[in-house]
Amino acid sequence: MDFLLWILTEDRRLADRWYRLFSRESWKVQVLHSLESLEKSAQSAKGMALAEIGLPGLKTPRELQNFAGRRADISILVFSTRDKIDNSTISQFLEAGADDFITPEIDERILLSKTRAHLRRLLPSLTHARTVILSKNGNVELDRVKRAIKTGIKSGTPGSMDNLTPKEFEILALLLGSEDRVIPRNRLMDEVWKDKAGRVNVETIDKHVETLRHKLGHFGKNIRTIYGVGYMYKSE
Amino acid sequence: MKVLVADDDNTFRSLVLEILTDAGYEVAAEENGRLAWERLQAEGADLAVLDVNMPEMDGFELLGRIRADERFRNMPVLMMTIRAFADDQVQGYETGADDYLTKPFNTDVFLARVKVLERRILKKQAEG
Repeated sequence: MDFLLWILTEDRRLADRWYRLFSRESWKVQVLHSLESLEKSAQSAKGMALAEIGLPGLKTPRELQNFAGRRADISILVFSTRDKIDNSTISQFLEAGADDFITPEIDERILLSKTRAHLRRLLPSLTHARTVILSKNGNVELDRVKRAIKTGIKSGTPGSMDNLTPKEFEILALLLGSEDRVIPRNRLMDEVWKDKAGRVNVETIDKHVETLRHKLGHFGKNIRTIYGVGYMYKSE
Repeated sequence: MKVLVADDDNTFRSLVLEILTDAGYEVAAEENGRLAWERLQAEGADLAVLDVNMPEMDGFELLGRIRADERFRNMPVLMMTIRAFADDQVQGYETGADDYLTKPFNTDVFLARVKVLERRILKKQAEG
C-alpha cells in the first residue's frame, strides 16, 4: 500500500509550492480539492493530509469530526489561508480530530520536520522520516540531527567523520537511505541541489561522489557507479 | 492522564499547572530538566510539556533522554519556547518532539494541542 501526502487546497500557488517541496523529499504527493476526493483516493493508500479549512467537507469542526471518525488511519493537518482565524476555531478543529494546525506562511524547514515527526509516528520504518539511517550491515550510521557519520560500528573499527560538506552529506543520506537501489543522477541533482538543480551538470555530481568516496575511506567502495544511470549504495 | 511539566519560569509553570489541573489532568511540575527527569524516572508520566530553555538541563537534552529510554520512547512531548527561531523548532522535531508551541500562547489552543496528544495515547491503547 502506498503512503501519500495529500494537499487539499484551492490555492494553486500554495499547492504548487508544497507539491515541489514534498516531491523533493521523495514523498508521493497528490493535490485534491475536497475531503470527498480524499476519501476516494485514500481507499487504496494510507497517508497524511494538509487540508485547508473551508473546503467542501471541511467547513466546520463537525464535518472534520465526521471524517476523522470514519478515517482514523489518515492524519490531518489543517491550515487556513484566511488572514484571520481565531484561536477558538483553531482549538475546535484540533479537538474535532485535526492532528495539527499550521499556517501557509510556515517556514518550509519547520513544515518538513513537523510532517516528518507525524510520519515517524504513523510509519516508524519509513526512510525519509528517519533521523538516523543505518546501513544494512550496521557498519555505517548517518545522523541527520547531529550531522554526524559513524563507521565501522559492527566491524570493530569505529570511526567518525565530520569533514563532509552539506552536499556530500545529503548525497550519502539519499544513497544510504535507499540501499541496494539505484539512484539516478537526475534524482541526486533534484534532491541535493534542489532549486539550483538546473545549474549543475553530471560532472558536478560525479565529482562530489568521488570526493565523498574518498572521505569515506574503506567504506567508499560501497558507493557503486551504475554506468549511464547513477549510483547505488551496497554494503559489502 | 498524568502530565509532566518542566519550566523554570515560575509564573508560566503555575499557569500551565493551573490550565492542566482545571482540565482534569494530574500534573507533576518541575523547575528544570534535571528535576523533571528525576521525577519522570521515579513516577512516570503519560505525556510531557517541556520548556526549551531551562537551567541545569535544557528541554532538548531532557527530550533526548526521554527518547533514548525504552519506557518513554513513545510518550508524546510538547515543547514550548519563547523564541520563534526556525532552527529551534527543527531541532525539537528532529529530536523527537510531537508538537511545538511558541510562548506566549492562547490557553484554548494549548489545551487543544495537549488533547491531540492525549487522543493519540488513547488511540494507541484502543489498538492494543
